[in-house]
Amino acid sequence: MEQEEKIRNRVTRAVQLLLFKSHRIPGVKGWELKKNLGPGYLSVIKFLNTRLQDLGLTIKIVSDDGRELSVSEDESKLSTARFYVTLKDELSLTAVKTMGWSIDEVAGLAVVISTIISRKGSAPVKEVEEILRKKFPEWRVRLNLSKYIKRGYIAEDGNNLVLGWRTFAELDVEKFIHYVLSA
Amino acid sequence: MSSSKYAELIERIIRLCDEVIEKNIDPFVVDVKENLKRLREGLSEMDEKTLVMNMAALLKIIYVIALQQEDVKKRASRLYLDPFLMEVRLMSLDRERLAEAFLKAFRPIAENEQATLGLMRSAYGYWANLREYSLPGGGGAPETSRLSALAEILPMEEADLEREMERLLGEIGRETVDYYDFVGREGEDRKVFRALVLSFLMMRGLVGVVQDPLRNRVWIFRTSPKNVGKHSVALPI
Repeated sequence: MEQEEKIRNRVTRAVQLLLFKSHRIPGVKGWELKKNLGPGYLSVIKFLNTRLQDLGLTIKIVSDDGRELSVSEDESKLSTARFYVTLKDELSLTAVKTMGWSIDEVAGLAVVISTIISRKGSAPVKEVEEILRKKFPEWRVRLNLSKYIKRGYIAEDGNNLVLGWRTFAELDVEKFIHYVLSA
Repeated sequence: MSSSKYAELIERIIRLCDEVIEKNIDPFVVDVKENLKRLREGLSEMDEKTLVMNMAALLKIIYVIALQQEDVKKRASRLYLDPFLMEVRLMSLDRERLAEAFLKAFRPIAENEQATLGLMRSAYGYWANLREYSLPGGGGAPETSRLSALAEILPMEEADLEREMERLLGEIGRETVDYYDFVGREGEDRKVFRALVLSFLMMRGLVGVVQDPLRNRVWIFRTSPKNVGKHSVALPI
């Protein structure tokens, strides 16, 4: 009984760590989870993941270089990786509108990310703006770009734009490119 | 080939390789085979200085070969796309279809906002810039000369906050402590600051709260993850 209570407390703590943003970036690093939940933190994460999946959520692990990892990955890789809770299933256009996004903003983000990927992960700001201008009104271009930067979907690297931490956390880039090409 | 001409040739090769390495130019502009052949040509009549230069050029070529290998890998991967073709594709899709393609691969993060230092800084900046409600020292960047509590909190780094949290946790000890006595222990000036640090400790489940609404008393106690409270309370300072 006491053991059960102990596990419940660790799962509760894991939920607090994963869902409540205590840094600038949401989610939590593997080493932080280990520090708070103990050496068996991966079992807690696995258990929590099964519970979250019933609610339409899932735990996603993203390495420093933006690759998605699984819980069975090497401990050293997991300790520096970031653990997030993300939606498990696809969102509809209507649902995304209720989250404060307009179709134009989502489409604009799709254009920006595709452009960056097609330029080997780094595209000049001017080129991206030019492509956006062909599809969206002039006033929206800078506004949307700063929104994407602020939210972490893209980042500025000198005069270039690169993919930001949020894109790696929220988007399956390979699938996305596949969908763009086959749409 | 004369030794000065040979040294010139080596310098040219080094410069070309440097351009490719530093400016992120297509690594295939360097003809590796041809350059290696030229380097080999003067090997027989080399003095010590030229030999060192030859080695330096060879190293640069090796680096360029590594870049070429990386480039080939990228092109062979599923993620390599021709920028022009991608642009044509993007232009041919209407906004709705683009958004749909994005959403199929999009799984947003579920997160809850809470009062972090960053959030407090932006909140202070917002209020300080409102004329009617402007805070002392406000008007431009959040200057905090008179509001002592905020002046202390805002410039703080996360690491400093962690230290303060540890200090306060040490102060609580094992006994139950009166909340108002605790936050006011270092005087009025430090009251808000101590309450904020304490709230972070509560948020992490390291400090628990007991309330007696009839006598309007609030106690805090050090907790372990075993007896973390399951509800949230708003405590006025």
